[in-house]
Amino acid sequence: MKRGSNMNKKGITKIQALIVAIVIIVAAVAGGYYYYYTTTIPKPKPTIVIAVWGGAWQKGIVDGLEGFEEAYNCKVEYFIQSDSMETINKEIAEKEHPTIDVIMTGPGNTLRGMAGGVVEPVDPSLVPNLEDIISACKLVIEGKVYFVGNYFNYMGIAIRSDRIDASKVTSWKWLWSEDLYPKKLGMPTPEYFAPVEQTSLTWYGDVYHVDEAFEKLKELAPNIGLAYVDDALASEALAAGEINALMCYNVVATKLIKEGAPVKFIIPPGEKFFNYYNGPMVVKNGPAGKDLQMKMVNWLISPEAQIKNAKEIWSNPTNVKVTIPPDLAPYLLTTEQMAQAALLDAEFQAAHTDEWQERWATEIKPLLG
Amino acid sequence: MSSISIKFLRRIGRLGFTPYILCAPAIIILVFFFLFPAVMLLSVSFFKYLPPGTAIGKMYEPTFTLENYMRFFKSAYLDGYLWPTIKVMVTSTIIALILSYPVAYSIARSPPRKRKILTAITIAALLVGPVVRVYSWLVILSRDGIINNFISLLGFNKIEFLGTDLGVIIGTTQFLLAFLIFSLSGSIQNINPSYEDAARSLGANEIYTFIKITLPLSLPGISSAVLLGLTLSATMFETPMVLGQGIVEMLANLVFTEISFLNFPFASVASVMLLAITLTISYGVNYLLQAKIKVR
Amino acid sequence: MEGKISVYKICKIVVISLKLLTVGLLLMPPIVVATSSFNPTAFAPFPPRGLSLRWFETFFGDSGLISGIRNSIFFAVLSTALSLAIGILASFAIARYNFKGKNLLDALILSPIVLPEVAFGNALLVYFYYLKYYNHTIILLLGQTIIALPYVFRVILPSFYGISRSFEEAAMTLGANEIQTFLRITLPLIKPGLIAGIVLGFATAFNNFSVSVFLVVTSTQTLPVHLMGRMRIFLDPTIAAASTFVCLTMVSALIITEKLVGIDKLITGIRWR
Repeated sequence: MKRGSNMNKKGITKIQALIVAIVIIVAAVAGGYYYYYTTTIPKPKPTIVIAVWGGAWQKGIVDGLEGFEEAYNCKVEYFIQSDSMETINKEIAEKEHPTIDVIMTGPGNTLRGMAGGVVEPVDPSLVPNLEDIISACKLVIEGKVYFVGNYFNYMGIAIRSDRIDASKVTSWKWLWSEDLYPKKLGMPTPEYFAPVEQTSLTWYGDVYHVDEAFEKLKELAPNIGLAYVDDALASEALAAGEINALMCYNVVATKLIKEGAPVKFIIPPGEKFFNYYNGPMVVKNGPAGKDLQMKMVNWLISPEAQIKNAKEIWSNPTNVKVTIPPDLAPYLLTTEQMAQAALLDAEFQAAHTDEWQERWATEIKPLLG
Repeated sequence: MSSISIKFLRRIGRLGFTPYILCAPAIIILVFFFLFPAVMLLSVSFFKYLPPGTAIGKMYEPTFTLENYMRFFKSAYLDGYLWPTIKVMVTSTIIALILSYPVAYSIARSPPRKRKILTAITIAALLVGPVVRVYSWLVILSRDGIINNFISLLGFNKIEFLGTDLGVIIGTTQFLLAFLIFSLSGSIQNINPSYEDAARSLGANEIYTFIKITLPLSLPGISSAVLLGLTLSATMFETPMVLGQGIVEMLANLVFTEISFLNFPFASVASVMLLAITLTISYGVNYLLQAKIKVR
Repeated sequence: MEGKISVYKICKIVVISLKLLTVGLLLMPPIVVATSSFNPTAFAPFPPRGLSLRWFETFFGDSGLISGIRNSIFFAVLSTALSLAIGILASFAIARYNFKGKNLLDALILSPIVLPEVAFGNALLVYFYYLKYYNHTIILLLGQTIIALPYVFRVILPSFYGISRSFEEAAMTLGANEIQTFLRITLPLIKPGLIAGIVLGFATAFNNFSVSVFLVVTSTQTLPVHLMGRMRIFLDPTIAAASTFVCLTMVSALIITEKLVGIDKLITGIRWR
């Protein structure tokens, strides 16, 4: 026999119950709509998803794709990525059911994507602009073009012009000088790109003198104050004055210069420098279908799209039919400088990068700090 | 209607099933969506890595090999990743604990107005977001940053924070503070203040009360906070990446690096190592403090 | 006598300076972030050189960032609620009962923190594709819940230890059944732990990057993932503006809620028969 409970005297009032019920119903309906909308309703028009880096890189692609949606009656969605390898990694896991169609990336990552089985070769019959692209910016394996670049990155030395006399920087070998001792230099790690190749190029003329390059890097160790993978970290470290010089891509420096920082970007004249190129990689079995994917690649490598992109990110176009507008020219490489660019051996790089990273971790990193 | 469900619950209670039913959601979600993926991860650490170009479509060979572990146990990885991780974990947790206890105590015991202000400050610190937070530390701790400017104004030599253990520890400790403050204040608040009042009225001063009454009673809270601190600091990667400047790195950075090479086997080894040291240190702490905590 | 007073005073000074140091450390990043979001240029954001709303303009104009915030809030709220529900039940069981496998369960609930998020996110992604399950909303929700659960649990558990069983026993003697006791006695008593759990769980889920980056698709892209992508090459104060905005909004929301409703009332507001 249950005794009457003192607790039951104040029950829940009708109004309170009504409010709670309304809140729960509204939340459930809202939640249900959100769930339904984001997961099951098919998109009205064919949609194509392209993974881009954010900020100016996104704007460059968005500008370049102006008119694409109308021309092919589709919707373009942008997936913002930080490291394209993460996106490729994601697509490898999603192999059976990819969610992204085109990924902006580079040749090295494309090779890794190929190892993961997610890369669709560029089809020349659907991408006529392909033949106008300089051969240095096409990744060709066994006759098939697996990757094509729509812009060309190049490396140089960014310095704090308020601390370093720019006239002293006449050669890449300057990085080894006492001006940067101690720990005033920022270098990318092999995980990102280039320290091994550039060192090998500078001291031995080609990228294949790996062992000797590592000896030289050991000599460089006392100067190294930053070993970076992320451009944001590099530019911030230079801006904060933590380092006085930086081996980096042109874009890192140009952005800082535009914001009024006392930074100069120097490509030592007459010496070979490392280059890289970025472009749209096509994902196998992408949801938009091969036809639309190839159309997007064709559009992005066209001269018009390349100029619009170059205006945002100050990188050289790869299409020979492009005429560079005069206001953009000062930010890009001249033809003489283009000739200094070392031809990228993407396969060599991709096959050895993690071995170089291992050597960096075991031979160079212990010498830092 | 509710009396029927009460009867049903009581019957379950008598059978001793209650705790299992209460824990069922946790068990289900963790076993199926954490344990299984984690075991998958563990098994990958024994697979053989295939560099790109070796085989199209395959990144690792599902055989059993110890080569990834052998690779890890080289001094470069032990000194370069394992040891800094342990150092940073333990140091930042201890320092963060010492720093956060007074504020946590204030939040627990102060009058509402002061408590709300302190809580708001702590929440604000938490909501800044990990990336922006660590870059703001870069700006503060750099050679031209405000701290070094202040130090050189006082006439001392500038201190090198970035690229050293010190910078990473400072950044990690600050990250832990907000979490530890919340963890501690929650449990301190549950200590009945009348114990402290009683001790005080019997003639003990504040220090004695604290050491003999408050501290022992807050041990479960401290133990939780320590475990929280250790585990949070173990898996951080933005802080060591930015403040360590590539010179001081932790195991989580290694995991990221190796995943970007698609070297899942070696990345798994690094994850397993991280798991191992976190578990070891956590169990050590738990064991030491466990004796003093009872089910009340 | 003299000796005792100065030791006491020294302790007091030490404690106060520790508190000041802690508050200072807590506030440094938000202050730097807030001031740099008003800085006219992107270079040398601190100390600030002037006042400009330029970055806020960019922030509000970036639809990706806005939808990122919306998604982050949606997922963080849901996963915090879910992990709270699971965590309260589990910590109640562990604190109040002695049962076989108790310690094992305790370790299990703790374990997600111990696994590096990047490895977990990757593993989870592969796992769901292996299961051929493609509902990305649920996948992201599960990922964030599992990440938040250990924090919620670790903060609520000591609260349960802290309250005496006699409160519950008294209530039951007076005629309340188990459910009533739980809702009207136990839960309100662990309020501080609950609030701490809510805040920590929400902060963890909202700010989570390493797991979310693997699990998001365009429609569910959360703020941290979008931010990392945006600042890939250059750290532009738009991020600082976004962060300041989010931080201020949340803190104001909390203050307003506190003033209007009182956080206390939120938890004990509903009474049951």
